[in-house]
Amino acid sequence: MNILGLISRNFRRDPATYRYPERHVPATRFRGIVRNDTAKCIACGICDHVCVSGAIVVVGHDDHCDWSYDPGRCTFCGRCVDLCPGEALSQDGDRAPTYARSGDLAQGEQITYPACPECGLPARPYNERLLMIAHDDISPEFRERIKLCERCRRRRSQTVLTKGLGGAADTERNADGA
Amino acid sequence: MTVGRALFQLLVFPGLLYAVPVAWLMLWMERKLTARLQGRIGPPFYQPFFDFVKLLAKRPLPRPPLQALAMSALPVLAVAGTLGALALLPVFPHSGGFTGDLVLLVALLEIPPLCAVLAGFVSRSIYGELGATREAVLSIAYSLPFLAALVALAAAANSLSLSVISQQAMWQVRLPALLALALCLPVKLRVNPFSVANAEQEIYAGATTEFEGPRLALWELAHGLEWVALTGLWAVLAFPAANAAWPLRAVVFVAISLALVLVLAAVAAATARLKLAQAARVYWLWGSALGVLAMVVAVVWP
Repeated sequence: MNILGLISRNFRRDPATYRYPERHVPATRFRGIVRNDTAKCIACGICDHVCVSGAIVVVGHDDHCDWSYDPGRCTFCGRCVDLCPGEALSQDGDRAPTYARSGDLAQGEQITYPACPECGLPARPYNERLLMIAHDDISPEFRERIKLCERCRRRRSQTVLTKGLGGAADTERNADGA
Repeated sequence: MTVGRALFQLLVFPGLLYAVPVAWLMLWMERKLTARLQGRIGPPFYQPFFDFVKLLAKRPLPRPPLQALAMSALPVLAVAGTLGALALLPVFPHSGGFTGDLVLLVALLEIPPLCAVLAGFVSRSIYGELGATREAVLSIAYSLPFLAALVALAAAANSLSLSVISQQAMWQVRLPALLALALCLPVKLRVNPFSVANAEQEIYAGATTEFEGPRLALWELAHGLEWVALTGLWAVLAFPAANAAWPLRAVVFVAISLALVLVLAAVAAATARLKLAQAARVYWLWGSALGVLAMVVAVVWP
């Protein structure tokens, strides 16, 4: 009666079934749910542009940007993460939690544009890492200028330009006069 | 038996109000214990109820009118027959009953297998027909010991009334008769080793293969009620203390029924499915031997 020993041993032991979280431990570099670090996001919209399944939608407004993501539509291809210029996007290394209704895991982030120090109107957010890539050397004046809104920045550039040009013209005139 | 009493037994205890939840409980116990004995987790206790509700919510398939009628009526008949059989169980022997209710009980208990056979053929599925054929062959095989045991009990108590039988039948007769009845339970409930009629994984669901939605829900309910009725019948006949007070009787009745479910589930988990001829041989040979033994004792014993 081998079977009696078998079933009594089964009964005494814990079930052999692995339940959901222990089942299939995800591999390293597992591509899970996409997360957006709003502190790094510059609301460029590249993620929306490259998202094949339309899971990420970025809608810009005057003073903020709405970033929404629906894991139910996501194919977890990872293109948004690869192409995110500011490294704001990342993917969880673990599986998504179980959910009952579609849209339960959908997340929306709001990226508020920082106020321009000069005029107070919303300015485009910037990202330290991008600055470092674009410019090797960042002067304090440049760092000041990057915080401005586009209009103020343009005006500041114009002033600098005219001042510089004006200075050069003066020198030239002086040279002519000499 | 007054009308009120009869209605109480049909609708409250051991009828509808008691039997339906207990049917789900028994289906769960059977599944859970089988799973645990096989090293699995098994379903939560509300699973049979959820299955039932889910099936009820599904839209039935459109079918030709006569077939639709037959496929809807047969499970209803099976549920009704089993409920009727349940109402006849003399859990409280002084609650009445009438002479001849044993015959009615046997007839009502035969309705679900008969309906299953018809259902298998009416569904026009090859698996349904196969299941129905097997069910029919088996029902002929197990009817002999089942009826012989009941006849022996009736002869021992010299009555056709269930309450008299449950109180007065001699234990010398009762023992082989109960053994014969216990042997018939797995085949009537279609569990291993006599599960050849529905033969999961082999011929899909046997006679009920083509049933869907509410019709299948009713079949599941009928199956659960069969569990309650057959274990209940065994519990009533095996009841040890004839003169106990009614609360004690009710508790012991439920306890024996549930214990029997556990035993049947354990046997099912420990055995493999027998072939049709093997299963039929068990009943023709060993079942009949027990039944005949009970009858001989009933007739010969002074």
